[in-house]
Amino acid sequence: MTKIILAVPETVEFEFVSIGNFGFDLKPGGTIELDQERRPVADWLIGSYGLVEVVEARGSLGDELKKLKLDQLIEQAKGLGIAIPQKPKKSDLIAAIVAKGVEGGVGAETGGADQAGGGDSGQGSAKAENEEPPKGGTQNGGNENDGNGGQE
Amino acid sequence: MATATPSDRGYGWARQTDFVTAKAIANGNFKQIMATDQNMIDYTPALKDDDGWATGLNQASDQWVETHDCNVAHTIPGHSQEIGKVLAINGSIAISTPSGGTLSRKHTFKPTDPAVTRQDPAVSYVERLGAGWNVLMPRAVSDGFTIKGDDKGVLSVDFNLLGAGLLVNGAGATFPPATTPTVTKLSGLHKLFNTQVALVVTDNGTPTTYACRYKSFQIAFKKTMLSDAGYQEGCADFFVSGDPTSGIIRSAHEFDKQMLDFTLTVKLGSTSPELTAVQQQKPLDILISAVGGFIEGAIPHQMDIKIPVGKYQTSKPTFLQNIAVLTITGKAFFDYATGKLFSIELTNDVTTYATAF
Repeated sequence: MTKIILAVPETVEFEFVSIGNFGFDLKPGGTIELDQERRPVADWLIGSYGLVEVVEARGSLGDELKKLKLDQLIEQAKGLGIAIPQKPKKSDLIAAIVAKGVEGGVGAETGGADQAGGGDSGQGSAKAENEEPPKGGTQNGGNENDGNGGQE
Repeated sequence: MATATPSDRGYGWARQTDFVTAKAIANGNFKQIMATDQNMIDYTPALKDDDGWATGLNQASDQWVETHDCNVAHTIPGHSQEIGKVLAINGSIAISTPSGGTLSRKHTFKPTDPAVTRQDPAVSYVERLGAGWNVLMPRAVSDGFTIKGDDKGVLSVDFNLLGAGLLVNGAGATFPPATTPTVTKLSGLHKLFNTQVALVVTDNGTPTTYACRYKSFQIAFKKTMLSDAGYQEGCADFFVSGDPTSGIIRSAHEFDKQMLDFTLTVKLGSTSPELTAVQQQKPLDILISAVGGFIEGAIPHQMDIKIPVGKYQTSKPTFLQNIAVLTITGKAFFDYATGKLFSIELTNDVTTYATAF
């Protein structure tokens, strides 16, 4: 499934943002994943709170790469002729590999090594799709009802 | 049977995770609404009959429900924690921790960006009156709010909850002082008073701090609603689930337009720049602040209403408590520089409004 991956900058003013039935923890250095159909939400996060789009992974390539360790990603990147920065970050490497590995280079414009965020994408990530909010704490992602919810 | 009086009434609400899923009536799921009014739900089904049909009769012979509708209006006191609930169901919220704070949070409210979604969060609402009325109204959304302060009293907040038409009679909600009520009692609330309000209006970089000349304010955020469109014929969303003869309820309730009007009352000064502002339609930056008691350290409960581009519509001398004042009305305009119509920064000790309240 097509995903939008947004990186949260290392320095962020807000720790949580919500709109409609969506809610996101903005953990510095973390990432947020959204389905492609949530493009307006992604644009809002980018435009209003400075998140950076890391990559739009087509198919499962991005998901598969996220499972790899940093050194494995470095090897893959080297194999594709990608320059490795001095302090490589997983999200940047994933972006660069996907840009090389996917026809059309989706996300290539945001895959630079100096991009904000870039921590382990497994840390502090927030899935915004169809996830029950945790009880008591902040809500990681929300369920949006577009109007036909429960009827589909 | 004992007689029910207005003091037997109780109200509660709980934020839903999406529009259609009602909050279950369960221990601690709902929070009290400390309404200052005595309003109860207005239930208005759309009734139709067969008057004029070729029934052979000179009057209607049948009547039925096609759609259901219901709403309730409430006013709550301006407790810093409770104001945030009304804001949270009317727009977007961003939470930050004030510098040096651990218990305190700043909740920055803005109207929902319609390019992202037009479906603001819904709540499940319950009310009771004595033993004879205990009703759940799920899928309730708000069409805006009015925050006002006047005289020496506590600020107040007016809001409507617009239901989807679904009402559950005999909901079984229990209220304080029951031992373990499903509607939790509010506690630790902090009042904000009109006497704590400061008004600053900035005209092209030159601020006017009204200080002792300030008298009262009111802001009214209003959303027009796509109420009819919420009844979606193909959704099979009926008043009685699975009973297509029971009439439909809303499957969504989105907003259309958003607008903010304001009224300010200030004592007459030595000149009347307010009149000039009307005549010249000056774009004004308006800041209304209410600063209450401390939460921790030097961090107070606080509400800052920021209107980056406001224009006055009228500025008229009137009399209030036997003194001459200017009553100013105006309207907010979308500010492209800051990307907002207005914002409210609310600092209190609530961690989040994103989950249940």
